[in-house]
Amino acid sequence: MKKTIALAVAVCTLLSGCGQRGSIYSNYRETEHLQLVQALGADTWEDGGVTLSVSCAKPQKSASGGIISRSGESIPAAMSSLQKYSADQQLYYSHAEYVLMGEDYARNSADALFDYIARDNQLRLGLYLFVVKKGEAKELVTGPGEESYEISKTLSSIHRDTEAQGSSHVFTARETLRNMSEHRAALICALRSRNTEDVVFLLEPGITAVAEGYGILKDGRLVGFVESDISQAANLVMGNLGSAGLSLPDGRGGRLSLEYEGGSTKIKPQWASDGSLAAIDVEAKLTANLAEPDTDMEHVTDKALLSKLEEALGRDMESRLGKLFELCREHNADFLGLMGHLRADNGEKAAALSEDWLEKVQFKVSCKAEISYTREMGDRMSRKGGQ
Amino acid sequence: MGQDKLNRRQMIAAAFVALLSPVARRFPSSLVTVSGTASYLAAPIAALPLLLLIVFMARLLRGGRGLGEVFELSLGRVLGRICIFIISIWLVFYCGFILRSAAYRFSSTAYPGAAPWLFIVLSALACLPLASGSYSALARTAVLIRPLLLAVLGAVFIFSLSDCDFTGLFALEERDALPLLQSSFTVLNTLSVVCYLGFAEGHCGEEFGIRRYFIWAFVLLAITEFICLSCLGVFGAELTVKLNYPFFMLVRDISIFNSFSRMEALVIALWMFADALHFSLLLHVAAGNIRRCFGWDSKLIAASGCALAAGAALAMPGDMLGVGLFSEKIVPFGNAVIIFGLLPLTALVGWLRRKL
Repeated sequence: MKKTIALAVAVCTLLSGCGQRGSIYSNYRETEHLQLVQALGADTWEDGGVTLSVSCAKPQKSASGGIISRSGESIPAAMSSLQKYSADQQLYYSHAEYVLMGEDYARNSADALFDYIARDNQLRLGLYLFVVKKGEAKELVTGPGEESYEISKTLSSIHRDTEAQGSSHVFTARETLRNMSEHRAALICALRSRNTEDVVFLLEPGITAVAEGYGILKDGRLVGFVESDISQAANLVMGNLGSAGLSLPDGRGGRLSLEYEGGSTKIKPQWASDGSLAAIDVEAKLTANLAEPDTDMEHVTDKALLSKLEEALGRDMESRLGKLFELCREHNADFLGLMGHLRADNGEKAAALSEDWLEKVQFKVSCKAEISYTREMGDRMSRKGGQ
Repeated sequence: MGQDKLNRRQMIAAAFVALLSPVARRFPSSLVTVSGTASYLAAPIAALPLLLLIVFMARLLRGGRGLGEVFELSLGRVLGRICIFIISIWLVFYCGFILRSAAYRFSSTAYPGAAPWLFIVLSALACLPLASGSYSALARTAVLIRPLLLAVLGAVFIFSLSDCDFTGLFALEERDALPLLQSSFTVLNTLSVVCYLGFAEGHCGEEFGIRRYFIWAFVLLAITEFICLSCLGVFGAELTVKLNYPFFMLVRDISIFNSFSRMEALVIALWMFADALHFSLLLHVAAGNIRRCFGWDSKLIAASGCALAAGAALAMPGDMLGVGLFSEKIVPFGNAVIIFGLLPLTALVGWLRRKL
């Protein structure tokens, strides 16, 4: 028994990594020697490779600092090059939260990055993906060179705000990979680099990132964008409609501000007698709040005026949905997962559809909108009625 | 044998913990590859044949006789012992595969670049005391480890629920029927490894107890079902097939209240207990069988078996394709031949000769 215990202790000691020299476990790393990568940017390198830029959680005051950018022929080669410039710290990717791609890289080589994320042992599938519209990821990751600038904080804020407002949705690598595996297409949150001059006054002018709709991925590469005004329609179809605002004509020559409250869509395929797909019916339901009602509350009390406003809201969303499905058709990319609805309706007929079914199908879009009041307005109404 | 006694509860605990090793290795990849999104139905479909297998084993092992006795009674002493010896050799080879696949799991998920031989040799050394010890020690270890592994499984299922999307999962078609049957056989084949414990039946002081094994089967099928549903819900069928060890990839992405994350190395290390139990139990069975055939010292046989298994593991291909070939083709085929071919045939001969 003593021999057994001695053997077990010896094995555990050898495996533990205690004392770097004595251990046979070669993968041992001291925490203080790690630089935790939080954001990773990928851009096209002029020689056909990739430029990787990393922003680490705790910038060290070493020669290279916590923000490094290096190029290589492949992702592992660029990572290896990054490591060389990271002084005595080891770049640790296991806790990376954000991956950004420059537009050019996303159009030409995004599939290589997705493949790397799926197979790599360190990177998580739960990390958030972005594409930088008309720009490079390096610009956003490295920033203006200010000590206070951290892209991960900016992206965290964008993530929180876009989810709350419903202006966009930040997809994880897992969601993107899943959508691409199942539908060969996916959406990815698009960012744009903006100069903060004349916008932010307390700090030094620099750059920041703002969310701007979605990028459309097909077969692992970027093929186009869903503009911000259409992204609400995409959110509605995906069930992520937040509380974004919009402005509509009030029917009396002015404009009224509304805020989306919720909505849903029903997607029903119409099959022809020969088994082909005749059309797809998209029935949307939408509710919104009056964000800034007129002072005399006429839009609340006048049912006819309210009905006109609801019709206008419905037409507005129909127009956005129409443009969204036109994008699906234009790129022949099922980034909304429409095939899932077809399979659920009739698996055999869906399986028999040709590759270019999206280019041929007709979309019949309808939207029924309803405008509700907030409690505060209800109180104002009752007070008004009381007077 | 006289001193090495265990009760039925301990034996079932050992069977449970040991089987968590192939369950996490094979499911859901091997099911989803064949039957796609419908693979979540494979475990419920496998329930009936698994229950029939338990009833068959209960009938065969009636009166506390072990499988060794069954072979000798049915086929005669010489032919019976030849069969027992062949099964033992197969079990040593199977043990080698357990070491190889455990090492591959470590190096492909949590310890990239680590030398697999290190894991193989150290695992074999760590399992040696268990394999050359007693059945009762093995079973007591299983009783201690079982709640820990169950708690980990429960936590994984709960924390992965928020990422699950079951859209399109329940759309079934007629053409799913045959692949589903194939997948359910995979479930049955994987769980049927428990039949090898029939060789240790003589060490158990209690009757077979069909009801207890039914509960055992229900829990393992439920775990299989949860693993399938979680992976399908989080990754979808197509991505699940592409991923290496989807269950452990699921663990990799779990974050507990944004405070704890990247726990996969810990969970993978915990699964070493299941591998160790699986390895030690089968090697123990093999050593007992060889002692039955030749009367050699079982501790020496266990040590030699460990060395042989480690040697076999080192000789096996270590890449994804090689491990996949053994995991999905060679090992399941070998087990199927013994459990669904040799064993029923032996039982049939025994019943026809009125020896059983």
